[in-house]
Amino acid sequence: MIGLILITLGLGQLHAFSVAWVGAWLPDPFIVVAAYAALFWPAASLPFAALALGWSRGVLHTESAGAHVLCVWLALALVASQREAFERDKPSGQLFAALLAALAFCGSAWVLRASFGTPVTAGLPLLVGALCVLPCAGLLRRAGRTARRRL
Amino acid sequence: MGKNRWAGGAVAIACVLSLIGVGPVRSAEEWLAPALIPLDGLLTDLLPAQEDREWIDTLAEPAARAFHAHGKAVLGTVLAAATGRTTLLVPVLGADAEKHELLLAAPQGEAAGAGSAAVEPGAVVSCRGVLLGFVRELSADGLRASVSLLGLPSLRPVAAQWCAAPGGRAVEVLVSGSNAGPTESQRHTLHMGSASSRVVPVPGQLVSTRDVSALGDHLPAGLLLGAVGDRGTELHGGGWMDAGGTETPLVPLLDPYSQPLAALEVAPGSALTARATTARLSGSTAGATRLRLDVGSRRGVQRGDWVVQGHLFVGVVDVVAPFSSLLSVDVPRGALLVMSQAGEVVAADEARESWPSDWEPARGDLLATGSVFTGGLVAGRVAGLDGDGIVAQRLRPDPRLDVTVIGP
Repeated sequence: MIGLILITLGLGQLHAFSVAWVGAWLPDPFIVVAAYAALFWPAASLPFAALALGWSRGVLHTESAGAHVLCVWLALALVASQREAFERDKPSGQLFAALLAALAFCGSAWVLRASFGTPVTAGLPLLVGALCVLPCAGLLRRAGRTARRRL
Repeated sequence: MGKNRWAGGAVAIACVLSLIGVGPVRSAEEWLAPALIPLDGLLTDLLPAQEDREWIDTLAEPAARAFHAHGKAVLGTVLAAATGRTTLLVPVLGADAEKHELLLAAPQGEAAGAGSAAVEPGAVVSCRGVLLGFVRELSADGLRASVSLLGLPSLRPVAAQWCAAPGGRAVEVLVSGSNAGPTESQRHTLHMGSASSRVVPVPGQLVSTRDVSALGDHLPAGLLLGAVGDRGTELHGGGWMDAGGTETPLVPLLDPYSQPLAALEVAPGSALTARATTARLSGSTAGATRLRLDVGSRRGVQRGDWVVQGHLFVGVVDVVAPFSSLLSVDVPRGALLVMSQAGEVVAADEARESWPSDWEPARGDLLATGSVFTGGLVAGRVAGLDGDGIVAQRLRPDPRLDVTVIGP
């Protein structure tokens, strides 16, 4: 969990820094970490993974961490429930998982904003960020194997 | 598995508490922020320069003028203090609608050379020449004054008068508060009674305090209390029901809860003391309406403190954790000043509902703000108008430069 937090914070800080130079459309790599957790994290402790990812993302975006945790939780639960349907070790399977997670995150963020008025940053950068899975496919596969051995 | 289920339930409850904005939960969320510091220091210094600095320097002087004019308007044209006392512009720190009270920053101790306490219980609190209430008590450290607002039934009656025409004979009355009924609109209302004449005032007639110093009450004369309210339905055939012998309701002229500044009766020579801390903004976290500071309660930062960068308004501290704090970039309600290119200053929020009638800002007008401790500050410019009100173009702070956190 600590690893998830540190990776999310580090990637998020680098993303925010890059956005200041490049522009707001820059792909958000957060969804890659979310896809990894959804595909390889033990199902029983998925709420803790959602807590780590959502809290870190909430802190990065200076928004309600609770709202982010709920969005991540829904995205992880949705992808994890279809885990066996994806070819987890293949880039295409990881890409579909990341896209599904991004769509679920954006949808739940929209619902929270509409119902509670709580802003949750989501949108195109997150959806485009799913493409970042492709160059990271090998890394995700190895990290997944490590996670399955240790957790 | 059972343990995980309980933990999952606890996480879900914490999420809901965070979602509805429970203060301690929002503060606890910030405990993760120190983990950002190692990379933040490195990345912030490498961020691109902000191009707004030139604008801020140009607009600093007009913003200072706008706040000075606004401060003078809040102090009012009538001296709202008894003989031997004076008025001081102070910030409103909070409000308690249930108790019908305001909390003001107060100068501490004895005023130099005055030989009396800077603020005394019963001191007059006003805004724009309108009497808001009286100081009920001071905090133990003397830095906060609780103010009971007019309308409380327990508050002292106020000697007042109304006059149909300038130079005419004034009708003397007593104004007191009441809780006429159980509904919110019937609580803390003002009424006038014990009139010296049976002449009935017309709706909208202004009522102000009168000089009764001969009776030992040193409440300054000429402070507005309210306007005479509507007397109800018109009778058949024209005319109004005779209000003689009954208490006449007064409509307040100001909403006391939306005023960020007030004029407080103090001993001459009294001054507020400010607390200031330098800090850095986090450059590697992104937020549309919030920014993060690298200092928190350990450095004395408190909720409601203002954050400035030179002459630029950056925000107001909203969430405080031990080692970091979050600030809202929105200008506090009632504190936005719109200055036209002709130099006219209007205190109006971005929403249309707060605008004076027959007034509309123009594209390019200066958006300024300020507090007693910071003076006038630049907030931005009017980029345009839409159905809701002002579309503001806010000037952004440079995260590579220090900011100052200022509070009472």
